[in-house]
Amino acid sequence: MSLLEVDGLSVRLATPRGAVTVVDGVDYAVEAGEVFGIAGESGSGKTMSMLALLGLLPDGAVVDGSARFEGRDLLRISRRQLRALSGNELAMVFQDPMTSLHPMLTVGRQLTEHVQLHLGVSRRGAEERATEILADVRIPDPASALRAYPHQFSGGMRQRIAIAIALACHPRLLIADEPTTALDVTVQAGILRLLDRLRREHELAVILITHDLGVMSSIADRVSIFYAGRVVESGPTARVIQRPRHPYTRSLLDALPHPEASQDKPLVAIGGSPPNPGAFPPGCTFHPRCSHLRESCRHEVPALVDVGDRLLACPVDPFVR
Amino acid sequence: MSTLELSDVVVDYERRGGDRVRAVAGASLSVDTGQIVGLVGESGCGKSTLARAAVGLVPLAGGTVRFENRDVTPLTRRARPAELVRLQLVFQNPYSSLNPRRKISAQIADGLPAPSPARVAELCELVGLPASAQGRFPHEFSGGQRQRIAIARALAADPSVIVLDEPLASLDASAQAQLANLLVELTRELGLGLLLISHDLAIVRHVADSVSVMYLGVMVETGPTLPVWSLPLHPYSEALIGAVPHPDGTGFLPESLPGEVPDPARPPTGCRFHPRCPYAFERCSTEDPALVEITAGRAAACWLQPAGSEPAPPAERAANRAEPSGVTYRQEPPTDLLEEM
Repeated sequence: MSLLEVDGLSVRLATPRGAVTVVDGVDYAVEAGEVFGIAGESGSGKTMSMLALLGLLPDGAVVDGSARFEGRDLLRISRRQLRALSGNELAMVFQDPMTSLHPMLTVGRQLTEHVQLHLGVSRRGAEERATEILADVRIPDPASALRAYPHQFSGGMRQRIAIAIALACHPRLLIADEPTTALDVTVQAGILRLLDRLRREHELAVILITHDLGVMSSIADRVSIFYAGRVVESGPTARVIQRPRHPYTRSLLDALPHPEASQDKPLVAIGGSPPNPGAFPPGCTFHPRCSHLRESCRHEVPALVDVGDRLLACPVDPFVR
Repeated sequence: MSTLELSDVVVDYERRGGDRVRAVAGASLSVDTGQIVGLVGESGCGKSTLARAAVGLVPLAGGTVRFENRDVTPLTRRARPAELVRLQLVFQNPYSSLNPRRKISAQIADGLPAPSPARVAELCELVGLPASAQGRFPHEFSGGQRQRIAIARALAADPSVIVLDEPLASLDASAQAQLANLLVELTRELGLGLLLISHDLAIVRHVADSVSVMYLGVMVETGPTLPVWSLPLHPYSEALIGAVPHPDGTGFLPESLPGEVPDPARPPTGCRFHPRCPYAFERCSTEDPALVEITAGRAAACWLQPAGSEPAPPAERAANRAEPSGVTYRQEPPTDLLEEM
């Protein structure tokens, strides 16, 4: 059994204009020790599907489906049980460490509070654990870092601290939402190497949410491509990136400048823009932008089916070889 | 003489407490019409300050900025000189650079010498906005479309050079591709000169004709884009390029660069990059290398790269350099620490 199994996850948000579906029947599974990538443009539902697992959705949101984590359904357990799990076995790292860290509390305070709570250790024990985990994420001089405030660190170091806080209680699953988007490439590379090592050394499963297929390609073992609230293609990263089969995955890759491509070839942009939640088209949500569409794409929602080396939600399958 | 020419530009900021911070410490750059010049570097290296200096938004503490053979004077309470209207700036965030309460047509028309609805329509078409966009407000548009509006507004002034400060940041891949293609088209069709400041090296590689690499207020390497990419001469350019992830599914793990850009108020002695440089030796910590021409059109500021030499990777040069005492200057952190920082 997988560490996390998500089935038919749907999220509807309450807006002044009524309920809006932002995640529409998403399935995936994450194994221990793997980096599972979720890629997609903004508004594709990648973040909302994660917040749903952690019970962090805005008020009035309605969640359907199931998310089994170590035998428990995260969507059904009580708030208390979820609180006991999150920060402990389930942890999350957000895009901007400047807003996810408290500016007025020392790193030590932010790194020991939940350790005392979850691991049931003394203050001294928690401090020992904090020093250890800071060293593990390669913060120089961990002992003095504990007494410092977030603003005294650079962006990359702050993200390392956020990762340290997330990992302090030995979680089995780390959800990282665009953890390197706000960082320089040089610093990003360091964080990617860190995540890659942590999952090897600690058997940690990582869900990596990113819009950057380069980042995805460097450390994700498997990847799901989200579009307008649904998974359109899912499989081993090398297969999906090197031989994309969904028209959306393919156009997403064509839009990227490749480090070895010639300069004369213009980037191939996808016509139109991603639909807004609340205005998802009927049938295949990608059909208005797709150049391979058939009549049926306009009204039939394509199922995500096993096509051998991956899961694909496109009955046309124009790139099968 | 290039259309926009920055020579030995120095920009100082004052910190609270009177600390002087030299954000740009003698940087030169030129932009010709019909050309896209990319300016890259990590955050904190001074590229945005240089962009602001290029259009006269910050006063210079040294050096000159010349545009169409005229000095670009810093902005004061007086009106900006009319000639400078042909030098335009597009900001990073189209959510804050457009007025939320005015219609698109009015904001684009601001840049025109005289009101002309026909010209506004033409500009909208030029940047790929639907004609219906004119009567709408900024909040009705996506980030990519807002950036098009900002570009249309800059184009209204009939510029010869546009400075763009991170115009593609915070856009999705597809919008980024559309906008990058638009910038190339505009340069070729209107004969514009663009100074494109970006931390996204892959995009710069794709669109820029030449590239300048900036580190802690100075240029460390300049040259035509593709040669710089395939054989970076400065260790910093090499590190920047090696850190770019490849969207190719091979599982290539980008190289990280240890450390961070130092505080510009207290720059390191000698070469500013030496504390982070894997090839640094004695001389690097005491003497600051000048930006010298290595080979036709390519310049680098590195003691490993003598002027007029054949281009060779920094590692090769470092290996061939005779180690006088047999002692490496730099204290190496443990290797696992090094590769991950």
